Amino acid sequence: MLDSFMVLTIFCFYMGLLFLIALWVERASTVDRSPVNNPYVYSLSLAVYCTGWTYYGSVGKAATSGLLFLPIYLGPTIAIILWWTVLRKMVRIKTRHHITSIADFISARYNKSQSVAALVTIIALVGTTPYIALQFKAIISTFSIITSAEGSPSWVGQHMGPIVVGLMWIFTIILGIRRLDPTERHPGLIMAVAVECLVKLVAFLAAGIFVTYFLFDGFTDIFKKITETQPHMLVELWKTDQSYYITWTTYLILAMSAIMFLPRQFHVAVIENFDEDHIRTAMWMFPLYMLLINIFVLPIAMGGLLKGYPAQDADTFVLGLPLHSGQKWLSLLVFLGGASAATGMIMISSITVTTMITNHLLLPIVDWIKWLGFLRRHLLNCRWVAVAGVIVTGYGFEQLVGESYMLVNIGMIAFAAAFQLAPAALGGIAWHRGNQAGALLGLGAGFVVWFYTLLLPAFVRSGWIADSLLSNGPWGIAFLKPEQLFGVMTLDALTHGVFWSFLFNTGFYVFGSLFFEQSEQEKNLAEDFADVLITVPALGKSSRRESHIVAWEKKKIIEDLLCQYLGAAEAASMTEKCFHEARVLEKGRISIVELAEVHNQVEKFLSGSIGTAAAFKALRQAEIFDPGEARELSEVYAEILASLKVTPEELEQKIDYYQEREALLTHHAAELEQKVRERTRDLEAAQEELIKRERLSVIGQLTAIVSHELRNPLGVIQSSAYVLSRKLTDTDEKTQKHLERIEQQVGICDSIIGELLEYTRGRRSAAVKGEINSWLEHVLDELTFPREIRVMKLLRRDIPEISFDKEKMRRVVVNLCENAIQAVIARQTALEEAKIGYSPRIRISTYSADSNVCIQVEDNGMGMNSETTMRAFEPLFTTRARGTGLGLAIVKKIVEEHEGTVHLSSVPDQGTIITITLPQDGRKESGANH
Amino acid sequence: MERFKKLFRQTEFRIALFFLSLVLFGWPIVHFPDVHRAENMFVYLFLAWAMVIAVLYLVSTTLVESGDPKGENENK
Repeated sequence: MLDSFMVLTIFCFYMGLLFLIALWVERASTVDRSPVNNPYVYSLSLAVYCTGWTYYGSVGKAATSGLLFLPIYLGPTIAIILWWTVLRKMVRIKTRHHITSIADFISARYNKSQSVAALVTIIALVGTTPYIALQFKAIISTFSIITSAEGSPSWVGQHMGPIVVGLMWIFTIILGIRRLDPTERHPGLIMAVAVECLVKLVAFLAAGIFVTYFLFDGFTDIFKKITETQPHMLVELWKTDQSYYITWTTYLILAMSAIMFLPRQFHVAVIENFDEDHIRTAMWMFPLYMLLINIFVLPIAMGGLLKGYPAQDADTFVLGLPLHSGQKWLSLLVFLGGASAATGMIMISSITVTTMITNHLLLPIVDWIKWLGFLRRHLLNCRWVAVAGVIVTGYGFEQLVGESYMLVNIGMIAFAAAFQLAPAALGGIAWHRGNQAGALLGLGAGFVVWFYTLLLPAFVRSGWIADSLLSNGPWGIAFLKPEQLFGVMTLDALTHGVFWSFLFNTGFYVFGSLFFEQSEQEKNLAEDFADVLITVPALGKSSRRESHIVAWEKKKIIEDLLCQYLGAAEAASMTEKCFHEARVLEKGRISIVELAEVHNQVEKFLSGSIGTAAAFKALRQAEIFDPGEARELSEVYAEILASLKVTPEELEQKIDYYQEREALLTHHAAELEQKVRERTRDLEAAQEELIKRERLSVIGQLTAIVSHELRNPLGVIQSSAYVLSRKLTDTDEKTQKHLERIEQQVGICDSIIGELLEYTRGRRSAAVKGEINSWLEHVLDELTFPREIRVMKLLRRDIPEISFDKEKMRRVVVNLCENAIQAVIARQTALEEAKIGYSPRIRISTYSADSNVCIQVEDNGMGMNSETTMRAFEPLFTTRARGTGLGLAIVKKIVEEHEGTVHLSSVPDQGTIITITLPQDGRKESGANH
Repeated sequence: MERFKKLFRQTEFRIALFFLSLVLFGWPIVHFPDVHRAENMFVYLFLAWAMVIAVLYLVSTTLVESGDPKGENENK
């Protein structure tokens, strides 16, 4: 036996060494890349799975149940095969959502539910505390074995429990929760745990090699001897009944779940993971570790039995065999290995549970009870107290329970507790429909059934509750016996409890998820969790601008899309153009923002070709963005939204506002365009008018000058002709005729000049409201119609008064009548030559129509052909030899000045009808200057 | 060799290996018909275990060589 003080000193020295290593790691982590950021350290730290219960208990289990210890390690190996998918998902989710514990993980998935987190924390706490007790038991009992001599135990031996508790508390605080770390990563502690795992492996292998090869001659020898000398032992060990295989399978399943969902395993595998790549190494290294630490379990167990130790003491074979063989240093190494296994578990578990307690139990309570608000400022102190509470509770449990059934079996019961987290956790990362209600119902039901079928019977077997509960059921209801629930009697207690708790858990989870609707946030979270591997991990803003999308792949997709609507060559050309417009034509890889720009260009082009809706649909079907890129783009938009510092509701309101504004602006723009068109038309008309006026003005000025210059000599000619005609009264008839002709032609010239001046110069309008019939009769009376022409006046009496310039309108009527007279005379002359009877007729009529007043002059003269009709109103256009071509032009001009219209209708050899329409309210009394 | 690497790096292969392991380490492959053949079963279990670990090592190596360490395209 070893001296207790020496063992304690070595133990403290060993812990101190671990502390120094941890301290170095923490300091190195702040200066350079963390030494823990290493796949081998990560893989070794995962071996915290192998606790003191494993270290000593496996041999005990092998000695009593044969290979039944093995599924505890085979299960994790099987589960690890899927780690590249499952664990990597969890690690990525942890990074993205800043997860700090398994309770945080599950609650984050289910709408960040505090209730879910609290429930998971309670399950973890209830499952972990007795497990910690088991570790204390391993340390204290092995210390007792290694140090106890024949006599009474030393002071150290008697107080080993409190000493270990104190050391654990101090060490856990120093390494794990010395300060608050939002990431809940503890590189120093993880390195210490990795070293401990290495020590326990070396120690166990050393013990195994010693027993197998030094106490015996290898594996074959041990198997041979036990078969020859103690076959009854093997019969006990290799049970072949059905229950053995069912238990084997149950262990396998529980262990598969435990490697992921035991709170400490989740913490080490997920929270403490530095790099997803480390998982690859862990996938083979951790199973290899488990294989190595188990390869000598059966030989040690058999060796102990062959040496004559009782099977019930098999838990101590690892330590006892070297010790009783006089191998003190080996025994000390084995003790340190066992202590490493136990302390590693205690530290990691207590930190994990403490984090969950403070985050998911204490803080909600503080929020609820206002006067406890001061505790928020002392969160670190609260954690120190909580970790002390967890450790002391574990130790107290060990002292209270001791050798009871419960403590021995708590390992598998704790595994079954962790198993309750599996449906919600796995469902959360694999099933989109899983929701908060389902998780709460499933976890709650699973936990209640687990407590009733596994923990409660353990209490009964430990003697804390009357065993009538197991034998008769509660209130004598056999149907509700905890270990034979609903009459199921064929399963062993563990399998029975696991079966029912899993059934209730999964059933309620699925039912709740299907029965209750998911909120929008839950849907987003479900998508985020389930699709985390096919999405781009959370990247920084600059990373999102990184060019990581292969351009030619997108080109191909776009080209294929465009080929559906265009020819191949045109599609390729258009694709190039879209990339060119997006300014990424020359790039091999493009960023998500650039891809979005390309997408917009393609959509613009397609919208122009097939319409907006069809283009939108076509682009969606083409899937230019894969799910990962779509998410990345969403994140870019989210970033933009965040940078705008507006809520989505505000953004929607702003978008609505801007859309309305855009619609208004578009409407205004259309109105403006219309007005611009109208103004342009007016301006063009005004310009034409101006040009016309300018031309007329020039003509007018020219006419005025020419007229003035002509009228003077004409006046002289007329005067001279008059004088001559007076003096030559007795002259011959021929001379007299020429004199008359001179006077007549001078009169015609004067008339032409007058018309020219009338047309070009105009004069100020003098519109006066008056009755048109009386005025018209007066004008007609002044006119001299040839006798042979029959003049008819049809003047309606009910014609309203209108405003018109009497002098100008007189000119209109005179011109029209003169034209009519010339037309009928010309026709009369023509018909007389042909000796055809003809009765010339001119009809002047007035009438009102649609608030307009019409003056119509109708003759049955020569009429006009279509070409003449079209050009009749053109200035200087005439078909007569002596006409000026200004008569109708003047008519049109004057009528338009009155805002009226002139309509000419003529048929050759039948006559002409000219209708003047004057608006009743057209001409204002103070007319414009023309 | 490339074919093996391509095989190992596929998710479907890992799923197949998962179920194969369940069979390898479960009933009826694991059974104890004769107490005197316990050693055989012990050897079988550890050999099978070692074999699975060896395959896992190869799988992890191919994942390195896949050039897709982050596995974004794994599920495509």
